[in-house]
Amino acid sequence: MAEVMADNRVAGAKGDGRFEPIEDSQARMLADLYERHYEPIFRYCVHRLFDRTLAEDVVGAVFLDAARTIRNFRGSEEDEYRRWLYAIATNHIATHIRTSLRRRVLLQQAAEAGRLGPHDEPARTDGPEWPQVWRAIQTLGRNEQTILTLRFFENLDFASISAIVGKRETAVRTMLCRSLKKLRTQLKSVFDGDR
Amino acid sequence: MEPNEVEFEKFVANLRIDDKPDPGHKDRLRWQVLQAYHTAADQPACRSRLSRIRRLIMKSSIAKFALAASVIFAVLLGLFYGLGSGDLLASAAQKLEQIDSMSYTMHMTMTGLPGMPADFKMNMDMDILMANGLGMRMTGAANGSVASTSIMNFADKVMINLMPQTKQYMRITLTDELLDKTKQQNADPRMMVEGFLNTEYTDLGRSQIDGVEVQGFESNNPAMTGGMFKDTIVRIWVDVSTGYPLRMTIDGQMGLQEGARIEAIVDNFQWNVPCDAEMFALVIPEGYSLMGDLSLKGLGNGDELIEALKYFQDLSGGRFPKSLNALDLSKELIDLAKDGSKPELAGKMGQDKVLKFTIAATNFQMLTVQNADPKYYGDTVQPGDAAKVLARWKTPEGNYRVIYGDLHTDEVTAEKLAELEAQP
Repeated sequence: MAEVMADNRVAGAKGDGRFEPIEDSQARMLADLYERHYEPIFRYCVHRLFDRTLAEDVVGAVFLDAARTIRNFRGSEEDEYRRWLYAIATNHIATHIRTSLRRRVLLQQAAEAGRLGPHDEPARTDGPEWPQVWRAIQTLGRNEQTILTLRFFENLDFASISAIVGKRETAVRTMLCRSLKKLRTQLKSVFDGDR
Repeated sequence: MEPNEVEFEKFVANLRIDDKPDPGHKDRLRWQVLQAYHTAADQPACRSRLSRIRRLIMKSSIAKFALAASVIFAVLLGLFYGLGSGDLLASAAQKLEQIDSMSYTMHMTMTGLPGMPADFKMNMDMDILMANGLGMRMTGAANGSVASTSIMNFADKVMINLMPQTKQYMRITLTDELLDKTKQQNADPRMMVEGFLNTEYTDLGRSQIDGVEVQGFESNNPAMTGGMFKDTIVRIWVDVSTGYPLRMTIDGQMGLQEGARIEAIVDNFQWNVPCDAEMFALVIPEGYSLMGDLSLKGLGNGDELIEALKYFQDLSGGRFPKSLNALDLSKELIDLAKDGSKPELAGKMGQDKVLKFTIAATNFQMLTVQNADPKYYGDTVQPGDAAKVLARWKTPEGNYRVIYGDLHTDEVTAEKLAELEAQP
């Protein structure tokens, strides 16, 4: 009694009660995308939000959004899907930061105190510390933060970053250059090896 | 690359960042994502539940137990709920014959939970997926935080209950009988309709839900919720145009305490949801430890229940629990633990015993679903009273298994039971 559904999914049991495999190439593609990009998107969220729990929430929102809208996405190349996921993540991160300023302030305070970081490793004293760097990055503009993170933490090329943030490559390069200068000032002691 | 960029690249490479994802989160989310994909096909405007996910502070172990007990309730409620009847449901029965799988959501509000402040309300949102021949999967969020994922695999006859907050899991083995009953109820909606036909119900007439014309039916039969709740009101509304159930509500008292109530709304039904066996694979995420390995194998001759009752007697200084409702038991155990003089209730050993007790009590309550006419008189029978019936239920042969106040057991006819229970 297999039943053909509106979107060409086929679901149903055979006469002997066994379940037939579901033929849905888009669902399979979504599952593949999820497997390949869950981790990079999670890392991106951690790098932007600092807090793993918040990052999990946002990653969830990203992939649920992707699941709901993938039918309308017109991309065909792997790279296009990757950029699409990063763009969704960037929007969710921006929304999250906008609606949780108070929490962000708390996080910054925590980062300032150096309380947050890897749980299973002793704090390093011979190099830059992530809370300190994260706090410095927070002083940048939102687009600058996005571009810097995508470039240095996610290792994306300028063409991809340009597509994700919706700016021309030259603008992206300029913003990145400006961001690095600002960061250098913020992290002068670390860059100059005074620590 | 500019020198600045090279410098910063090296700088970033030296940072130690805790950005390794939790495989458990990935596993849980995978299923949600696939479900969202399929749901979106039918409901483009479906809402994200994730935005409501926040952390629930559960500091005391007994509170965690209360939550675990609630989850067991929820799971069983999900397994044994029934569907309505009436002329309209006659056609619904025909439609439901075509259903191989379904998903739905259940929003529950529970008040009066043991170990919680009197005005505390526990809100639970369950996403449930059931597939004929495969299994059932249920994700529950309590007060916005993912509290558990339950996966029942029909082939393995096992259900696991994953609790991400404590990174623990319970493994519950079902009997063939219970499993068959579950499969039968879930896979053959005619049985559910027939079950409703066998009980008294009220036709609530027609009304509208979200602009949809529906016909409502109401039942007060406790068996509709597996006998777990008193003063039960179960209502079901059927979409007049499609003939499918649109919403169901359950309202009932969870135990002896007046304030312990549950209100549940079951809706967002999706029919013939694409499923595959992987969705029901019993995979324990890395880092999870076993909280309890339990068996819902029915009461048998009552040995496990007797053992549990003895345990309670020892703890309480010589009395029986007033009720075998899991939440009432939780309340009594919490009260016993309050004075700190019950080291037996501490640690994993205590937790294991409490869970075994819960399962024994749940097995007893399940007898209602199996029409085994269970009764428990712990509020009036004293330990040692060899002539008083403490608990009883009907055997498959039609006699009654009886546990007396001194915890000896016997099998008696219905007539003999009537005599025993008539004693002052």
